[in-house]
Amino acid sequence: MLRIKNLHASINGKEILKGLDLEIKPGEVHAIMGPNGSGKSTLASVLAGREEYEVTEGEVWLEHKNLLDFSPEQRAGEGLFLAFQYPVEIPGVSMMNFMKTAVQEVRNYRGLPPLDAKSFLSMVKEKQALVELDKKLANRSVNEGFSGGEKKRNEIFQMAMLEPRVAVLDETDSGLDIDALRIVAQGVNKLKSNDNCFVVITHYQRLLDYIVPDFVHVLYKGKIVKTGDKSLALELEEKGYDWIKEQVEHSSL
Amino acid sequence: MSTNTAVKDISPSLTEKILSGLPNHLATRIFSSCPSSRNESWKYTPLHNWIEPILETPTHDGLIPQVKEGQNMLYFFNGKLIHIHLSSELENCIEVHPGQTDIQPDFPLLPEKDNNHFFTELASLAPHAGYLIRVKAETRPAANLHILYDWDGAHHVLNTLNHIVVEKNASLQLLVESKSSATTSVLHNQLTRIWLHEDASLTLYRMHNTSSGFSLIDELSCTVEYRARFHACQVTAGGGLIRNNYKVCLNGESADANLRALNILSGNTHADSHVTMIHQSPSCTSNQTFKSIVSQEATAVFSGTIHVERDAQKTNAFQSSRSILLGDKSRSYAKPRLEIYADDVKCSHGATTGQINQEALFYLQSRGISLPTARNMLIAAFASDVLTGIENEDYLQKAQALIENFTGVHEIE
Ligand SMILES: Nc1ncnc2c1ncn2[C@@H]1O[C@H](COP(=O)(O)OP(=O)(O)O)[C@@H](O)[C@H]1O
Ligand SMILES: [Mg+2]
Repeated sequence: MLRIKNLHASINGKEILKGLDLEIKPGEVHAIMGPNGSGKSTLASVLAGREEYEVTEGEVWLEHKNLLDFSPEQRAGEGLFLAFQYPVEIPGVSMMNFMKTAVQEVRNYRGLPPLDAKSFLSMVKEKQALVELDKKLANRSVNEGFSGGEKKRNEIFQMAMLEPRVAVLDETDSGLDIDALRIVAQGVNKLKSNDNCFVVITHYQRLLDYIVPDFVHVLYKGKIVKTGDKSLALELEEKGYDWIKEQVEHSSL
Repeated sequence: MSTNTAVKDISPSLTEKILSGLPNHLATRIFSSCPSSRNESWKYTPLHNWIEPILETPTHDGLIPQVKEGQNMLYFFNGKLIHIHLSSELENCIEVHPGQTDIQPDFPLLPEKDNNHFFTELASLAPHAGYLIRVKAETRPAANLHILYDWDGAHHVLNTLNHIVVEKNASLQLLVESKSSATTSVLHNQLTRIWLHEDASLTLYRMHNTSSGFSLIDELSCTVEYRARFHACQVTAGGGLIRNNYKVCLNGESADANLRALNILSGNTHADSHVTMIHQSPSCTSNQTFKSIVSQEATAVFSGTIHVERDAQKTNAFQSSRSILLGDKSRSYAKPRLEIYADDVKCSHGATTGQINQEALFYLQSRGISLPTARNMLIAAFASDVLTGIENEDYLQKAQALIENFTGVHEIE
């Protein structure tokens, strides 16, 4: 479903991703772990199309389309979703107007008829319940005054509204207490199907107790240096990253 | 911040033209005070650029418009009052005297501090039109009064002098609107003096939706007595030079002033707001919120002084000016100033100029919202908080329409 081939990307002339490969099939959940600064958020930003990052080499295929040819909004239309590590607050833009605009534009892109007001509202209700986001969204600005946990749940809510094919979750678990973590994970599990896939970027293996990954990858210095199953996450939790760093330094000698 | 270089001053021959028709002794008196670019308060506003084309256009009048009967309004066409109607409710509460320019001897005249003499003298010594409005003590009409300035034609300078007195424990909502046809070529010079007595309240909603040949030099000079409140909101969209001077004196204890402005600027519009907020007495509050959206070759200028006198303890005074620049040639200048002589005072000011928040823009795009729509949503969001809490539905709708007209964003139902 998603195929990343030899992806190189840099920011301000500094190369961060240095030949990254990843292939994800429909229905799969892949976890990406790795020490701070290894390039995880960079990967997420490059996939979503952030302009500051320059892709110098490589391809990103979503089914039969190279995402790198598309603008950020087109990528969303194609079915890519990024749950941000740090969701931005946008004072003055109401959640409701934001979501209506987003849903209608995405539907339009996908060749679907616009949703009428009633269906939209019932969809909002349903998806809000999914992540137990009980804010009165109509009067609130996007993420403004949301607690850390609410912001993360709001990301999952938006994901549910936009029905992506590929969802990238960038440290959606960090800063969450165990209840919030469970809510977020439940949301993801309910949305999981054979028509979509998930990339879960995380620091801690505890999220993976709730969202069980099919594969665990270790990203280090802009490359995937190790791939395993769920037990790799447990091993990393126990031993840290030093042994992996050693392996990498050793093999590159 | 860069200063305007190569700004020409208004030449003596142009000044003479502005003053033509005045008795000699007045013309001579006013003549020498014509502001030049060396005047600090006109530094960013090259008067010459705006005034010369207006003075060079031969004068003529457009057709006098038909006025709908029955609305509470003063209708000025090219500066002349052509229609006046007050409902019986308003008639019981307020007196309107068109053309009356002499005032009661104790009417407070605020000292001239900055260099707007030329224009205030011009307006006060030789007005073409104006009004005196008096709101009678203890009356609080529910209906608001609408003053419409409609411009169509070419005139050099039209001077207006107005006085508004709101007596003890009375209140009024005033909606002042200027509009102009595309062929208008006018400099409207206006001085409005306001006196708000004890516990009085004036809410002034202003809206300028004018064409590029229309320029305005407007001075509000307002004295606010004990526990009185003065709230003013202005929306400017279009026009040539729009210069707004505010001089507010919080004269009585616990007086309150709130000034807000939203400039939605494009083309060559130059909107310059000049505020002097004088805290004369203790326990007064003042707020200034000025926002500008500047596109194309437009310019926004904000210059605001908060002046707190020695006796004005327990002052709360806030000022904020924010601009977003949308074009390479869009400009914004801000000059905040605090002059504080009391010690128990809460004062703050902030001025920012920036572009659209790129992070917010990317966030919206990443949710499938196209770039132009996302930009416009953020522009509308920037503008909207000037309007929060505005109670006049009619004004709010007109303001929203101007924002929508600019951004093309409509809140989806
Ligand atoms: N704007 C930037 N300019 C230069 N370097 C950057 C910039 N943003 C991030 N980086 C660098 O890119 C590297 C990867 O960062 P990031 O992708 O955020 O890592 P992770 O999410 O894995 O912690 C880090 O070394 C960081 O310092
Ligand atoms: Mg990160």
